[in-house]
Amino acid sequence: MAERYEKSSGWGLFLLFWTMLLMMLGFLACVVFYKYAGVYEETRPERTMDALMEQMSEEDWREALAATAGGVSEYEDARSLFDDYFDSTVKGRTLSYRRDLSRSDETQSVFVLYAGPARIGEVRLLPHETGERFSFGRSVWELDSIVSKPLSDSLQAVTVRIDAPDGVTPFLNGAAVGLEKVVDPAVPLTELSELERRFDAAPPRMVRYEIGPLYGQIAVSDPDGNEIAPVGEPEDGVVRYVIMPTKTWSLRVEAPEGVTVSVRGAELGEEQVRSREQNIFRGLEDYLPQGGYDTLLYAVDGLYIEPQISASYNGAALTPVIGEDGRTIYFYPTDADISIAMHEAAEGFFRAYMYYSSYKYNGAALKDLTDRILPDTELYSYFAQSYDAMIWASATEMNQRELRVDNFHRVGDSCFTCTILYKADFTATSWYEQYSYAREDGYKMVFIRSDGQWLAATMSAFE
Amino acid sequence: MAFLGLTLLCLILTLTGIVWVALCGPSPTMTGAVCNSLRETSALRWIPGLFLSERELDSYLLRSTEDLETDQVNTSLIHIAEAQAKEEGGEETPYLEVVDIAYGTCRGKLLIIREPKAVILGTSGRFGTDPGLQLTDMVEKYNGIAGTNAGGFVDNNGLGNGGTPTGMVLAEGEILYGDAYTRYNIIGLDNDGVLLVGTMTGQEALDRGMKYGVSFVTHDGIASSLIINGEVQTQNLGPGVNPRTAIGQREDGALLLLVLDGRSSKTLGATLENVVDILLQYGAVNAGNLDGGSSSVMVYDGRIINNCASVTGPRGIPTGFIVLREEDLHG
Repeated sequence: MAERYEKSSGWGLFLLFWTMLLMMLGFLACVVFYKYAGVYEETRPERTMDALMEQMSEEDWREALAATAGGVSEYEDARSLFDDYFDSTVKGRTLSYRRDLSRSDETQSVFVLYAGPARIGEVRLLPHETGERFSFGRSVWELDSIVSKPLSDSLQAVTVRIDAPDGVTPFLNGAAVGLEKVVDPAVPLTELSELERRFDAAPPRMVRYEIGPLYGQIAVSDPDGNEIAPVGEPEDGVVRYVIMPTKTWSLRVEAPEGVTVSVRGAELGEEQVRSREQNIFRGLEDYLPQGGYDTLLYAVDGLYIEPQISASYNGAALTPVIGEDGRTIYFYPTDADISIAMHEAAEGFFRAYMYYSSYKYNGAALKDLTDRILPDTELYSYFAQSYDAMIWASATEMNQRELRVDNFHRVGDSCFTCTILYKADFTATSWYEQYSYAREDGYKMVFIRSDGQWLAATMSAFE
Repeated sequence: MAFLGLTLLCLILTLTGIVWVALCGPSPTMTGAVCNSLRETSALRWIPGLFLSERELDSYLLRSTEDLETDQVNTSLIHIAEAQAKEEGGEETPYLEVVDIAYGTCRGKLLIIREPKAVILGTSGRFGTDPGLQLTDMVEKYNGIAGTNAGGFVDNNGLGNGGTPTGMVLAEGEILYGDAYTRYNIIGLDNDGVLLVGTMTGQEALDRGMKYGVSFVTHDGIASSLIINGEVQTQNLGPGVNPRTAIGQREDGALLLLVLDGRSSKTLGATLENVVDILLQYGAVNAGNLDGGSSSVMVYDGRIINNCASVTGPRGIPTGFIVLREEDLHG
């Protein structure tokens, strides 16, 4: 019994000892864990981050991030771009961070910095090497670096493409764009009118510059400081600008209806017609109930390709004359039948006109002239009234060098038109002086048959 | 017997002491993480209440986000056809890829499925009547090649049989569980294979062309949307560390099925922030959180390829995302 008591007493002691040992170990484990929890809290890199977030004001973050935001091209100011970006993306927003576990270990902790939902940079912490070291192999963390997300990742980048004429330096944000930005020295100018695109001539060649990436405001100007607007919408991040050539051409072409006028193979149409008139038939309505024919004035300005004009009538090429104002004038080609029949009448009128206009105060010459003019026309009145004026005119001698009557065109049964070109030298003599001059004139003529006679009805100078 | 009893008692007391240190010790960070990790579980969510007052518990709990309106997924950001065309004309890329994940202390597996229409929603059977299916069986049922668990299920105190889903289940364009008028946190795929996440009613999900969908919220009401249109839904990121399952989609349409292990000596698990980081790293522009904890499981080629945290073996589940075999999809 005593032996059994001793045995059970020993077992009891063992159990007591075992229990106390386990409890002590358990207690020790809890103490160690408690200690570890304290160290863990103190050595969390997030704790350093929290302190940093509390210490740094918004402006501190601006300065810290601006230093590492990265460079931009010489055409932009990095700091002002960064400030714009910071004001729009960061200012007034809650800053937060998230630890990037993929780049964090016991040697470094990397935190991604956010302003609202936008990632704006990174903060790198390193273990404190010289300060207080904690147990459990853990260290406090200190700031190593603050790195901004590159501006190039934060801002929308565009490439600026400028086409400029050879020799014309474009300006971007006030700075001249150098030749090192040339990507193609000869690209065709595409900003041409619909008419020019139909020309059978190569468009002017432009020098193409490309500058990028650019992130902020873009102002492109020509050497005179004129701001150039972008062409169309940006495409694939490329904004296009074209500095147009300063050299442009205009054209003015006058031709009767039915004449086909072309410029470098492109036929002119209604879009290019500036006016359409029948001035030479004005006042002749009684003789021309169906009217005469229209004379069209084609006008085009701002051509970047030098125009070369041609015309044809019923397939036959026409030769122009150049008017006093530089316009190109076409007439109908000569109708051979009319020419044979009427050449004498037309030339006779003009010789009478020249004879009259050469001699002082010559009533016979005037009568000879007015007999060849249709009464009740402006032309008739003009010469009738000119007689008084001729009293004071000088006696003039004329030496005719050339007289060409051409371009006969039938307008109904009682009307034809033609042109008269002449070249002559004149010597005028008055009581106090004598002087010479040369004339080269051209007239559009309208003849009307009246009472079986062909009479001049209109005489309109064109040259 | 007394020896074993006393030893066990001491171990329990030690464990209790350690849990007390974790929950009431000098590290509020540890307290928050442990508190939220335990509260995310079905079986152990009562433990923090033993050590912390209601007020203290509330200070660590996240605000419920279940009823918050979310942005709508912008489906035009996903260019599935483009991605496929690129692959046809370019380098050959595998239809399905399994990637080992090691991110910080997180460990797990990621499935990258380049043909989003290859992913369907598998279901266990008659909800509420039949028990849940283990994922291996569910994948086999649909003749799939791979899969993960999907939506949540009724699991009071960790004793659920996985046969009754929570929220809504939508498959082949029909609502199988839940109704058309209640607002749910939905994660689903539309007819084009575009991942849709966010809060919506069943009818809204149908109106948006959703073909497959499940819903999931944590026990504390944290909604499942993690990333919408490239924006991290930070209000839904809890600090609890647990096994996780999530689904994401890249801009090129490729679907990402992620399972992260936990509750083991190798890895305790992942926070939802970790999940988001990993999905972002793999290019996700939309992502949702699925049922985690002991339900987190991934099957590939007939076997479980992650370390399932369930001590009793893989659990029965009501729904799973199943990856069909390439030959079945195109055949």
